[in-house]
Amino acid sequence: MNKRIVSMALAIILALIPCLSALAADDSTVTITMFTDKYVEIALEPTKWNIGDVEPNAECPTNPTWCTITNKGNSVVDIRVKGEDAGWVDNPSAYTWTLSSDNTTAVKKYALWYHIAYDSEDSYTSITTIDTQMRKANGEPIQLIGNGDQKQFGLKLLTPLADTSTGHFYGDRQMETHITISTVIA
Amino acid sequence: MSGRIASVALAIILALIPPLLALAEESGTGTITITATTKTVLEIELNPPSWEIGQVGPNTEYKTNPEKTWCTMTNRGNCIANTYIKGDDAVWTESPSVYKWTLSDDGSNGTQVYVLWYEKADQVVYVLISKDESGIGSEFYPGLGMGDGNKKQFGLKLKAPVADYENYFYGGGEMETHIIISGVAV
Repeated sequence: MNKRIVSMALAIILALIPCLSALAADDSTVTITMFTDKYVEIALEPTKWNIGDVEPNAECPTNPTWCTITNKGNSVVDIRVKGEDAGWVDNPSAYTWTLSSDNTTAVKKYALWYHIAYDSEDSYTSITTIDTQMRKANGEPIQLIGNGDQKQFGLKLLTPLADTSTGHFYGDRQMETHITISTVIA
Repeated sequence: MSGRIASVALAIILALIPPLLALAEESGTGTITITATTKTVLEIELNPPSWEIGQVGPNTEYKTNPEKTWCTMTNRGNCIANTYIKGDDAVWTESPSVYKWTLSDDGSNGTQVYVLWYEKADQVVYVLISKDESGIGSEFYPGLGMGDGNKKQFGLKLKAPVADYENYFYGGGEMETHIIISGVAV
């Protein structure tokens, strides 16, 4: 009888061991981490400036609030600007105006500036072929703080000098150039 | 065991995705296009611009001096131009409506009819200058290029009217006429 009781008790203990092991088992954790995406996008309005007919050595300004730049992303961004040479639309390689790097114009050399809206009156900053941080007259960098933030600016272009003796500043030629506005996360 | 490895790998992948997205989108750019059309300037320079013949007798020919290179024409504009030439009646400066010489249209002079010709520096023939009142004149130098390198020279010849001392060719009167050279942009 005792043997039978002992055998049953042993059988119950053996049957219970797997269940106890399962109850105490392996409480491990999966950790998930992620970062919110920094999304950078800007919008310019307008994106075209048709000056019309121009004479040599003529200064052509836009309104100081002519262009609005809007942050369409989700980050604080610095605004940068660069220009390029102007080319004759019909044959860009045959006739170009070089973009000035020193605020002066000459034969076949033109100049571009920007003015930040509501900054010091007549404070224009040169646009060159070098990608440069846009700044106010006092040196403060232009930033867009978060989605929807806006800044306005105007442009000014000074046409090349005339040199009819050598045939520069040909008449009735459409010249085209581009200004690239870019952003980098501040 | 394999479930734990899979969880860890998933966590690493999820953690890496945001930085990869950020790298791909951390530049927002916009472009402003500027266009301008150079204004056409037409300017024909004549040197000298006047010919003072002095005293003239009836039915007499007068030539400029130098005969074929007296006047230099230079295109001071900024485009290649076709040039045209035409003359006009000569009038008594004191009272143009009272006394005038009509410009001949056939090369022959007559009473109160005078003749004008031009001769190009590189040619050996005098060409009649006519009035062409409603038009721009006869073709002179087509495709005149810009600047000193393309200048052209010519001379003039005038034949005074036939005498009719009873009624015409009054003595002591100053007569004046004009030759018009026009340029049309090519």
